[in-house]
Amino acid sequence: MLTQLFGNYLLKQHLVSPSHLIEALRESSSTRVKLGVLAIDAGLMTPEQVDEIHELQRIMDKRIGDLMVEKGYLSPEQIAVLLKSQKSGHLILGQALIDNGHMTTAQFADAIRQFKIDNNITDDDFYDVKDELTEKMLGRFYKLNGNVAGEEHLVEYVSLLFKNLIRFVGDDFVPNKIEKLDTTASGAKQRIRHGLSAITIIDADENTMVEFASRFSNESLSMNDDYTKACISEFLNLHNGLFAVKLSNNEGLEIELEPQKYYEQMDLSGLGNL
Amino acid sequence: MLNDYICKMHNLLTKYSTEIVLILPCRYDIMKTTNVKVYQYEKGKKMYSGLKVLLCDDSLMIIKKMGDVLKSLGVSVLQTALDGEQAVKLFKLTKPDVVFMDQVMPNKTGLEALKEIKAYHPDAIVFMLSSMGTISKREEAEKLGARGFLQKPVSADDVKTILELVKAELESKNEE
Repeated sequence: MLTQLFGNYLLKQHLVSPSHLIEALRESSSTRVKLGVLAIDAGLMTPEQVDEIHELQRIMDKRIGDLMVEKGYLSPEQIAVLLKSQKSGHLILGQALIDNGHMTTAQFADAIRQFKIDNNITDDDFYDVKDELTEKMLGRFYKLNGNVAGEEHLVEYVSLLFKNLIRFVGDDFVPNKIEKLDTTASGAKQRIRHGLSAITIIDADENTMVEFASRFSNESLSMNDDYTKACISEFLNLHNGLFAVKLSNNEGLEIELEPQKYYEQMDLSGLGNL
Repeated sequence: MLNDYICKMHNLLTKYSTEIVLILPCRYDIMKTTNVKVYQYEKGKKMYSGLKVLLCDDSLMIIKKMGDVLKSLGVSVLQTALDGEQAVKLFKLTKPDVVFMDQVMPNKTGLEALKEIKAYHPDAIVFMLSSMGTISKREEAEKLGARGFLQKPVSADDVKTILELVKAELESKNEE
C-alpha cells in the first residue's frame, strides 16, 4: 500500500505524469531495486554520490556494491542490510521511474525524503511494513470532519479495499483524496445496513470498467455489457462481504448486505455531506 | 413460462441421457431469447456424471465461473437460479443432488431459500456460497441445515471436494 500512497504523492507534487506512473507501476514486477536507490532511501548516500558511482561503474566494470565500499560510502554490513529492503514496493516504483528516465536520482531523493516527513514515517517503519502502518497512513490520508456516521470504519474499509484491489485486480492504481461526488453516478451499488449504514458504489469510465472487469474475471472482455457489469458488481459484493467478516471478527459488529446491483444512472443528491 | 422451460429441459435430458449438461438461465427476461445450451463431454471427463447440481447466485459472473468449474468436472445437470425465490421453485421441480446457494440475493435471501428447501425436503444437501462468511452467518446456516459454508472467492478444488463428498454419500445411500 505504501507504493500506491507514494504514487499518489508523486502525482500530487507533479513529479510524474499519470501515464508514466501507471507505466512504472506495471513494470514493477520486472524491476530490481538497485543499491543506489536503497542507499538514498536509507539516507546513507546522497544522490550525487549515487550518480558518481553509476558513472564509475560505466567505465570500471566492477560491482556497484564494491565501488561503494571502495569509495568509503558504505560498509559491507550496511550493504547487506540494505539489500533486505530490495522488495519494498515504493522503492521498486522509484527505481522503475528512474530506469524509464521519468525521474532523476536527485528528484527521487527529494521525493522520498519529503514523503517520509509528510507522512511521519521512520526508516524502521519502512523495514517493517505491517497493517498497522498502512492504517496509520491511510488514517492521515482519509480524514473526515468527525460528524459523519460510521466514519470510524472508513480507514478499515479503505485499507481492506486497497488490499482486495491488489489481490484481485492489480496494484497499478493510486488512491485519491476524498471528495464529494457529483449528483449522479453510474455503476455497481450495494447498501450496507444493520450494524453500519452505508452505500458503496463503484463508478468509472467505460474503459476502466472493462479493464477492471477483465482483470477481476481473468477474461478478455471487450465491451461494457451485462457480464462486465456483473463482474464489477461481484467485486463490490465480494469486498463488502470480506469487510463484514473483518468487522465481525475484529469488533463483533454484524452488518447486513443488500443485493448488489448495477445502475446506469444513480441519483446521489440525497446522500449526506462529508 | 418457467414450467415450459423445465419440461423442455427434461425432455432433452431423457433424449440425450446423462452425458449432457444443461445450462438453464432462470431470469425471465433472458429466458425468452436464450436457447438451452447442450454441452457434450468426451469420455474420461465425466468425473461427476450422474450428479444434478443447482447453482443459485444473483451474480452472472459467479454463475459463469462456478458453472465453468462444474461443467469441467462433468456434472450431468446444472441448473441455475438468479434469486432465492427461483432457487426454491427450481429445487421443488427438479430435486437436485446438491445445491450451491449464495447468501445475499434479491427476492429471498440464501438463508430464507435454504429454510424453505429444508422444510420441503429435509435431506437436501445445500452448501452456502458467500463472501460474508462471518461466524454468525455460518452458525445460522448450520442451524438451518446447510451442509457447509464456502467462503468466496471459491476455488475449483473446493467445489471438487464437495462433489466428491456428495457423490460418495449418494453411492452409499444407493447401496443401502
